[in-house]
Amino acid sequence: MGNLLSGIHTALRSMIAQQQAMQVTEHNVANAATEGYHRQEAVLTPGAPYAPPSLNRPYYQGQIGTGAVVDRIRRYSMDFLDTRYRAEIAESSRWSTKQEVLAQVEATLGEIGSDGLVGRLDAFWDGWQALSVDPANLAVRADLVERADELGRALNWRAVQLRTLRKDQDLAIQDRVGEINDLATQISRLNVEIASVYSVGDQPNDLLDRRALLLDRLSEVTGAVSYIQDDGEVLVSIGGHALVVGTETFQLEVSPDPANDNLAAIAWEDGQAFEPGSGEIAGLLEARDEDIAEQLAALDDVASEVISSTNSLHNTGYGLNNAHGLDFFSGTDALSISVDPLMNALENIAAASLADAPGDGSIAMQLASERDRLIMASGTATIGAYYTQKTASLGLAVQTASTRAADRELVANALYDQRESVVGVSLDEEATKLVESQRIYEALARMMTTLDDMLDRVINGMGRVGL
Amino acid sequence: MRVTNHMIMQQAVRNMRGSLEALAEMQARVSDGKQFHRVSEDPANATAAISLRSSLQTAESYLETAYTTQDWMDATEFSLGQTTDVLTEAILLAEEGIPDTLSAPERASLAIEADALIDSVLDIANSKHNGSYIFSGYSVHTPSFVKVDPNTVTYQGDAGVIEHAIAEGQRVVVNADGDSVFSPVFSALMGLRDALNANDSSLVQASLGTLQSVLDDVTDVRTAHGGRQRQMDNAINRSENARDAILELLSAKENADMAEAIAALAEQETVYQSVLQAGTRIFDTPNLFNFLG
Repeated sequence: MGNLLSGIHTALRSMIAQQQAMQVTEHNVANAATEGYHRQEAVLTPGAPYAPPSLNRPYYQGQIGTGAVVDRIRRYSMDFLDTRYRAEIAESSRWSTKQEVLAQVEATLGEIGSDGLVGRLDAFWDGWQALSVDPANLAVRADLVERADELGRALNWRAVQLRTLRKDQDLAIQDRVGEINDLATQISRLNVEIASVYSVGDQPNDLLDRRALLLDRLSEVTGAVSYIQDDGEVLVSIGGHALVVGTETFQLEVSPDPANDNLAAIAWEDGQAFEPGSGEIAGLLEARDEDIAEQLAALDDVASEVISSTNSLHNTGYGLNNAHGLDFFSGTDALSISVDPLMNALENIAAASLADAPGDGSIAMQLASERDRLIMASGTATIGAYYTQKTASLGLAVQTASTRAADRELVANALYDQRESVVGVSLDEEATKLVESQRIYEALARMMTTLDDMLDRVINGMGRVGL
Repeated sequence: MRVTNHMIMQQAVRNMRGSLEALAEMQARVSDGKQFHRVSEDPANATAAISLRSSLQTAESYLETAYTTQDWMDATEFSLGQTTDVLTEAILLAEEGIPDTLSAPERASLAIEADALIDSVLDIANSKHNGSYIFSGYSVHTPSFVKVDPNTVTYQGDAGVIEHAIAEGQRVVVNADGDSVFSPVFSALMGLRDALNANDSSLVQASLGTLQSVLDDVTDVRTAHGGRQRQMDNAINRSENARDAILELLSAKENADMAEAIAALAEQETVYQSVLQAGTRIFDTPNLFNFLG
């Protein structure tokens, strides 16, 4: 036969278990909107049963339960969804980062407005056209120099702006490298803590949440891939190279690359090349080394072709003062192009093909028709068409990046919702659990009161027959 | 699917963001009437617009050249016309000087008139347009002819042929060669004057013949010049039509269809309002906690 005191203990043990369950519910409600939080649940299990001892056990009584206890605090998670979600946010952030940078480039160049480079080129050739009609007119010459100056400044300004943008992306890349190293260190520290919690048989639920959040961010930055080992530690790698192995991390290093304008080159500490397949840093690297570089090269192509085609014709002509063999432009590329200072003496401008021929504008006429000559892209495009094509390719790159980013974001959002549907906190559910635990707690209290009454009867009522 | 409160909030935020983005884009379109503001919004049409704008600028520059050229040619035509007038006058003088009944003093006074005609032609041959001597070839700063003495008028210009580009690959000769046009005129007029001074009817007769053939030559030059002027007029006509066509194309590429854009904007405004309303409902939706206790 059991004893009354053990009944009181059963009630107590179960009340404690319900209290713990309510505490978990409270934790869930409190973190309902916490980023990266996975809902938890107190898993109740019946307490260890015992067989009541008796002297000779004439018949088998069976085991008697001891109430409810909390077995463990369960953390809801969907690891395979994590992997897919991270792959998608890596791609989505790669494209959206690229889109943001290229949109800046596009806005800076502003080719669609009235200040477009193509318009400046046309204005320059219009200046020669006007000079060809009125070659002896100094006002027309002054106007031509002004137009040429503006073309030069337009090219200089673009080259400077693009270089600045490129430098900005370089700084952003270096920031990201620092962030990756930092994240790696934090993850390796969490690995230690998580493994030690597991080793004593506990659930490091909130630590796991923190680590998952760091892994999410790491994927967003570099498209890192992670694998959780049996001991709870996570292995992280980027582009096939390990970043975190247990408690160890491999750091990334940055050094100036002389072959690339001294911009940052990223390598692993062991010297291997860093190859991020996706993530923000991939978008930044692509923008810096491909798209912006392509626009810069296009500007340099335009500038050097304008310089050489103008100078080679101008050299054959004669100025009003019979100046001959002079360059119209000085410089070699978009950054250095400028009207040769000699041209400020307007008589030096060579519009004529002969000496002493102030009415001859044939060199100016030939220069004006340079706009129609197919001299770019191995003789298939005019300078204007070449640059327009480059503008189009930048526009297309922005468009592609924003479409891809949007597509990937849709998938990532769907996966986020799917993950959230498993790990997210539903307030209605928690309210239900709370009520449930509360009612059970109340019932247990009533049980305890009943047992107390029984004890009262035994202690104070027994052996007092007739009193 | 299990739905959580956080999920609903996130979705509401996403919807509001997307809808507001679309609204901003449509507002931009309506506010300045442009179909796109960045190449990336419509790369094909935007770059077509850049090319068209460039063509437009080129066409306008050629047109400007053509108008200037027209002025030059009009000036040349005017001078040539005056020259034929002078020559016609000289022919009348010559015809007047032929009859045997004329006395020497009468012929001498005709000779003075003929001499005056030489000066008129000299004036005409030294015509300037916009500060340039039009019959001096490339030497536009040099007077075309100078009268050294009563019997010598020298050409000071050169044989430069001035061409203007009036369209891509189309050039037109603007000037007439002063030497070949005016030198025969001068010598014919001097011949007339000298014949009249010599009081020799047969010489006057001969100079009449010369004058007539010179007049024919000048008329030929004038005809050729007129032909070029007509060619110019046609070219200008074509360029103007081309420019208008480019303008139309450019506007079709660049400009938004306002009726459509405004309708789309109104629609998007409604959508945004609905999204906001739905959002408010979500924020107001109670959960079980509201009914407990």
